[in-house]
Amino acid sequence: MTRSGSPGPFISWMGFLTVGIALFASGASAQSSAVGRELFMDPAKGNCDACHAVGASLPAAKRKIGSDLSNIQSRYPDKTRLRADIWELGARMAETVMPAYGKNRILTETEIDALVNYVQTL
Amino acid sequence: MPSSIMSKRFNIPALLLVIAAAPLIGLQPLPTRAQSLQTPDQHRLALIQALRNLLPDSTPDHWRPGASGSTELVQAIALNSDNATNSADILAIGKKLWERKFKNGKSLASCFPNAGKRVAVTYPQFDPKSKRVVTQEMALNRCFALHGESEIALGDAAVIGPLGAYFRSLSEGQKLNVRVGTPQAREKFDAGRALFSRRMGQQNYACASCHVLNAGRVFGQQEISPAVGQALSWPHLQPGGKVLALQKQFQQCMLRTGAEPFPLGSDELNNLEYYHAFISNGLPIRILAVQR
Repeated sequence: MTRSGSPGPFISWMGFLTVGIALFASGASAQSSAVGRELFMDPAKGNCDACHAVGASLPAAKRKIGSDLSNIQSRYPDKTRLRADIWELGARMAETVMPAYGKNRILTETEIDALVNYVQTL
Repeated sequence: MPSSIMSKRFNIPALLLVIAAAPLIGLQPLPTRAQSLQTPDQHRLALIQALRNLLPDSTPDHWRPGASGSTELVQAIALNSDNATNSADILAIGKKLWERKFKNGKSLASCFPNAGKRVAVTYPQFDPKSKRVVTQEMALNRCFALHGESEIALGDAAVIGPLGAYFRSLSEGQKLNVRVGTPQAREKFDAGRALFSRRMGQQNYACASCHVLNAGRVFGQQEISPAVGQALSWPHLQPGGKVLALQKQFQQCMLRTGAEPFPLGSDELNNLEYYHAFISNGLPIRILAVQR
């Protein structure tokens, strides 16, 4: 018994599936990043913008407690390290005043993922 | 955050100096042996030096507005004319309360030396009889109790606020002069100092995390005031005319860390206020500064 039909339709179907997954993933990432943006600014959640400026130009913004987060990807090429620092920066910088968002359960693991996704776009 | 970022954002030598001085200025949870050998005055001077290193363009005189800010712009806001108008109203209410005759014909002035003039700058005080720190609000209540009058709830800002502010105004122009004169008093001072430096709450930061290590920096839209100088301008006048007592502010800070605040008038907050006032000794008080 021989396999009927050519491999063409199978490959096309796989192609559609791959593109579909990529689009879905990109959409999910965009959605996650949007959630992350909300968390970034929410005083009851991340409240990140209270301490961090992004591309600060005003003198007061330059004096914020935390570092300026623009071009964060160049400083954190490794996403897992960025996540680890958000989870608990105090693990490697004992004097930091940055809250341990993961360790102290200020944010959930999903929220931290969303925040990482957003911060990486800065 | 990576050190490369740190170097862009911070004055590294000053920061390193402050971190190196951290044990001296009390950034450990509890006083170490070396710390407890440091007298309160030595500690105060070390703290001022650490803050001057962090804020090289300023002196303790610049820090006088306390939580009202330390920049020229913020000082101008704090000293604007609204302050004078509202302060006068609040102080008039306080004066009435101060002069009110008790059922026995006496008044609050009878409980204090010099009828209360130049006295408020010596509070909080350590009371050897009760072995507690007594704040000026507690002293007022003790006077009421002594003469059979009802005490004022420490949370009753509408009464204790103006009354406390008026009591302070009787010391206008005076320098803060809080004494830590005995080993028992020293214990309370050390307890307050330890609490000031103790990280707490879900956010896990201490009073000193912001008001020592990050003094002069910006949180949100607000400049963080140095710990030295803060005690000079309490109670504060809030927009809308409400008077905010210092211990209420302590509670708000604790809530901000995610911690359950100690009650008003508790030994913890009294000791904290004792320490907090002492580190501003020698600087002149301000009456009813406007809170931003």
